Amino acid sequence: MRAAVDSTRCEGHGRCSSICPEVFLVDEEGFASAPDREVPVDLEDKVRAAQANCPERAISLA
Amino acid sequence: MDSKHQVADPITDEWLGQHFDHTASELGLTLSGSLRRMRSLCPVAHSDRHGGFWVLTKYDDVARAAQDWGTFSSADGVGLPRPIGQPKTIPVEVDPPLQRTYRRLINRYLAPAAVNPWEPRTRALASRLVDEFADAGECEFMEAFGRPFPSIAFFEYTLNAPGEDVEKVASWSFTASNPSEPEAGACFMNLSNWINDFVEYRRGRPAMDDIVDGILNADIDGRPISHEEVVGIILVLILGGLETTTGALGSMMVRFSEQPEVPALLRANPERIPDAVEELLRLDGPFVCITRTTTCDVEVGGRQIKKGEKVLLYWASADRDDDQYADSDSFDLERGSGRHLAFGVGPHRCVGSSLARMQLRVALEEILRRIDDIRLRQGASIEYHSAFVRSPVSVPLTFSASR
Repeated sequence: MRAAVDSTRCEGHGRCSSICPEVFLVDEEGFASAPDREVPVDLEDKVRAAQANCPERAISLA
Repeated sequence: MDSKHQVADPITDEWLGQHFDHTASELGLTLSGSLRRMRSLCPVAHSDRHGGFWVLTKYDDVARAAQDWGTFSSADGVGLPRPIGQPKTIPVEVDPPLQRTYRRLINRYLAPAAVNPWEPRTRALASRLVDEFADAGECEFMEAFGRPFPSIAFFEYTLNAPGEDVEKVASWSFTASNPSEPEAGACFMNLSNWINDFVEYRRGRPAMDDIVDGILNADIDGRPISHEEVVGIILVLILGGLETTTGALGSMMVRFSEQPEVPALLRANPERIPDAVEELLRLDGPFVCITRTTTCDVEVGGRQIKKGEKVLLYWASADRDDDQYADSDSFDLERGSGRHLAFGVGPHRCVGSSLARMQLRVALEEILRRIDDIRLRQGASIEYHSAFVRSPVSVPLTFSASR
């Protein structure tokens, strides 16, 4: 699984980085990104929860 | 929460479909039932009150309008009516792209990483307030906890403002947030004057590198921030940080008194409190609606809205839409998604949501650990202060101290 944050939709609410800080990083101003690499298997549930909780639906999983 | 306080319902279908008024006191007790009727009778309603405005009550319509800031603008104000004398609130009444500059400025001070270190002090405050009433067996919850907890916390470690001013600022904020209050305009004036004095006070003291210093020293797209901008931003922090969390806490206690199985479940499983905060916010979110103004003709739910019309987005209705949440009036910890609209959505979504979540979680943890058998005092009836922010005026409780 790979996670991506659409920076044009992210409004900096910080839900994803609260739920899964291992995968979702926030910049100084609170906006999120996800490095383009494979999500460790044991974090997949948390990444799915982060996606489901993003108010802007800015997270995609592939 | 609605069944026990249901009064003879004076609200007619015609009123909901043609003369709806979000500031009507009758909605205090019947809000969720009235909005349920609107979702089925007239999901995109037009009211002839307040100069004419539209009301969106379905989740998808509300979310779409909130995210489509280009069509549904905030620049012409987000209150209806907008109190005379209210300064421009920033970034609430500004559209992107300038809105994003302000938002980035304050977001960093309210992001999860910034607010999490405040938890120990938040818990100490909650614990101290609960100490004062836990053994008494009764209290007026809003006075004992609902109002002081968020406002003292906000003054002490977000604003770093003089603690002796908390009560008067909280009281002005309470009145200003209700547009049908005749004193609302005067309270905005008092708040502006207080902010002017507060800014002077902070400028005369050593830098603290907090949100206030961040605002005072901000660069707005290449120029220094203006005084009006400073006032507008601090005003939003006060209006957003005090009365909203207060309303959420009050509504939570009312629900606990009516559904004792909810606090019992959380007392046995305190690790579910974060999920419960989300579900309680979905059911009884304190920020119930907001206004936008259309920038062009637009169709919503098969109805044509003209350019320049006012549109009320009802968060509280969207969050009980059965098309979004099965059995939407019931408390269900297993829903699993925090995508409710209690904090709004889109560029203007609540900037303080991480702080509010932390405060509400800590408050519930401390309250549930210390008191049990939470009931409304016999004979008590709850009245709501309810227009844009919904908050019980007083919540007289009886309880026993936990062993």
